[in-house]
Amino acid sequence: MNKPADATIIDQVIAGHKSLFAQLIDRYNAMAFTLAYRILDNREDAEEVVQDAFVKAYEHLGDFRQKSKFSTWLYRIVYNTAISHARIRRPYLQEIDNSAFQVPDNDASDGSVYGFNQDEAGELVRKMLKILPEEDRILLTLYYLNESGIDEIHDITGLSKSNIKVKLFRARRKIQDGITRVSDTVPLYSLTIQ
Amino acid sequence: MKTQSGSTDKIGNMIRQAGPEATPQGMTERIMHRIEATALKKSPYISPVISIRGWILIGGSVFALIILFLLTGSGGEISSNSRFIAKAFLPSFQNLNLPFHFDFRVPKPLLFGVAGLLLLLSLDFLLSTLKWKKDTYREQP
Repeated sequence: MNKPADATIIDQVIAGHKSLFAQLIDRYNAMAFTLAYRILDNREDAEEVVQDAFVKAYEHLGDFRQKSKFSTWLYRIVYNTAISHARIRRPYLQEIDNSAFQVPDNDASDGSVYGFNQDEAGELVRKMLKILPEEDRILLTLYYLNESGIDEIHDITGLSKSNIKVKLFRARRKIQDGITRVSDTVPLYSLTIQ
Repeated sequence: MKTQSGSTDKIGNMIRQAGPEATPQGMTERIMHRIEATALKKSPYISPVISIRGWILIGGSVFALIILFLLTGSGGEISSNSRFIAKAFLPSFQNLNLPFHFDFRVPKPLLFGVAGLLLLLSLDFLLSTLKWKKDTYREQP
């Protein structure tokens, strides 16, 4: 059975069927949580931000003119809420050491990238992204995971398109350099950049 | 942007394979619990008191009045501005072989009326387009 479109659900929620909003939450909470987590690096804070963002989105649903995708609008609220939350919490510097790039022993070859399973890949991605500023983490996540184009990333973050391109390029290079540097001293299996 | 080198493709593939973070158990229920206690806010958007259609009608009426005054001549007080305009442009109009009597006299109240109308139009445009532009929850233009 086809899922109802976001616009249909939104119209019904505005008409008073509040419980249908749960469908929108189920649809977008994973990416919303991931974005918040990438900025805050703390699951409790990320959940708080996602809850706040969904409540704000619900409160202001009447303002959503459906000129963009609901997800774009929601992620923009998540992004702004998370950035505000991070500023209040006061950012702290995290020491990055080589262990950020150490990966677990792995001999699996089930067709997955580098032979890692999803948990291992997730752990490695989290470690890789820690070397980046929060904004760059968001850009990589939106670009690769959400498969957002530059225009959508611009709508979500408010950054200029040229700035997004530059930041994406630098973020990728930074991760790549980090992996290459560490791979000189730590065996990284097939992850070593060629 | 999608054409990356092999190494950056690997980074992208790794991020994709990792997938989104696992959401905390029961998060949807907790959000819905808060939603149940929340009311939809009324849109802060203030629509213009006079619609675009209304302004077109008003503008059309004023324009018709001006034409009427120009064609028939209204008498009354003549503004110095209209005298200046008449001095500047009337010769060229007089060269035209118009089928009606052209009496270029615009009364002051009409000039003030037109100026006021233009001011209101500008104000209405500014209020309706710029006022809520920076609202966080509005979509990007």
